[in-house]
Amino acid sequence: MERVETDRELVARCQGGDETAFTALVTRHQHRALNVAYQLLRNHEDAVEVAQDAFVSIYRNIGRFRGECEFTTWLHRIVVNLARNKQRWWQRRGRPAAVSLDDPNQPQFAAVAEWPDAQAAQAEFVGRLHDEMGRLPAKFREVLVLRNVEELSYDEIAVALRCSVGTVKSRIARAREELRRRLQ
Amino acid sequence: MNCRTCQRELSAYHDGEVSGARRAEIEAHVAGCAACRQRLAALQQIAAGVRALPRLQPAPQFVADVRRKLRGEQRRPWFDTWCRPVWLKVPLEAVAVVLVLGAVLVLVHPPRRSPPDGRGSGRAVVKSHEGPPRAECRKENAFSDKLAGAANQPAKYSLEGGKQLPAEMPVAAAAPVARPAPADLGDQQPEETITVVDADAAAVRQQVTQVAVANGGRVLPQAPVTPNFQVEVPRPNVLAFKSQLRQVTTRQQQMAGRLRRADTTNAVREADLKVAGGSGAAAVALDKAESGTAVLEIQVVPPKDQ
Repeated sequence: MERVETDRELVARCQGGDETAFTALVTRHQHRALNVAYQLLRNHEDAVEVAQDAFVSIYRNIGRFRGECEFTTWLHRIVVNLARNKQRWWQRRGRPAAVSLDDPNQPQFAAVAEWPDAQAAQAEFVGRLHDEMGRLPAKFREVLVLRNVEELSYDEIAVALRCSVGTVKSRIARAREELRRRLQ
Repeated sequence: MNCRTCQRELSAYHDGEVSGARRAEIEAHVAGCAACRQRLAALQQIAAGVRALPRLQPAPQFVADVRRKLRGEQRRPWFDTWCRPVWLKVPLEAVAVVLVLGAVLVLVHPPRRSPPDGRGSGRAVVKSHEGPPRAECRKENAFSDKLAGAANQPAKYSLEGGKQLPAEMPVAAAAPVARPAPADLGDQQPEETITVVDADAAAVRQQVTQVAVANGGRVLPQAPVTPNFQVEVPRPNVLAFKSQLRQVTTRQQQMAGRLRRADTTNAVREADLKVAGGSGAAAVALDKAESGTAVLEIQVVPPKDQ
């Protein structure tokens, strides 16, 4: 059975000029980068662009990655920064930073009517949650996505967002409380 | 532990970020508090809902698109190379272009340097006041310096003469400046100053008086009597007064054979014509206010070579 290379090994090969290692990294983490970007931007095209730009940035700066954090943490930091830039870019042009509920490319919820009551209620709740997430301030959305979608620890989130663990803890609590209040 | 403290820690507790004694405290409180249990359940529901949010599936060509972008980065078009980001590169490039053009202009047309004897300032003043530089004017450094220092003073016309009376009255035209309406006294602010370079101030005064009277004007009384005096001339006759003054002096100049160079006379005439033709600011001002009288100051300066 072939052993799966770790991210650190792939990064080391990539730093040595191995193009296939970079392709392996992109293939492995494209789903992660795309979904974080989508949850932050709520726009399919923007999310794809940001995710691809993140890997381009990684390729250009791979020589500077010293392994002081996980590769995924570094990837998350780049995606979050690019998403913030994209939000600011849209804000300067008058478009809301998030919430693109009419996006035809957004993931579709299953046909709720065909589900059992409990599942239908859960699907409806997730749908409302999806909408309300889009209305949250970006800093709240970032911590919630990294915590509950990417399941990073508070320490990892702090590294990715370049803030303290206390700030992460506070933001997550306030974000959840805000969602709870809106979904009541 | 009270409810407020507990609820503040519930989120971190739910994420497993609280450990040890603190965790035990929270568990004990939640076990006995229905409100905090309800709050914890809400948090769990929200966390589960976020985890259940729909996920995007990357397109099959995602990796290929990244590769394509990388190749595009390595072969960026010239526009991207030179103009992106626009907000930074375009202003910098504009400044660089201006600096380069300025340097080229300085190299192609180097600025004229003043001669080491310090006469450059006088020449510059004469040139800047539309009058062609004259040999006499260049020699009269003191007069030129006076012009340079009197940029806001009334216009000065240099009438240079020899030992004879106003035989030579060439004009080193300075920019004429219109002044307020004159009064009847000889110490009023003159509208223009005409400088006559001559040793005999009394003779100059007599000659000027004749021309002024011929044009309906007069020499204003002045005490104490100085080499300078003021002439009051009806505005419509100011140009005629100056023109006749020039003609008289030019004729006498030719008769006396005191022309230093042929082109000197031409230069004088050109400068005079400019004044008489109304091309200067004073002429324009006079055209606008043709009524009343104008006060002209005659300044008699002894020649330097005397």
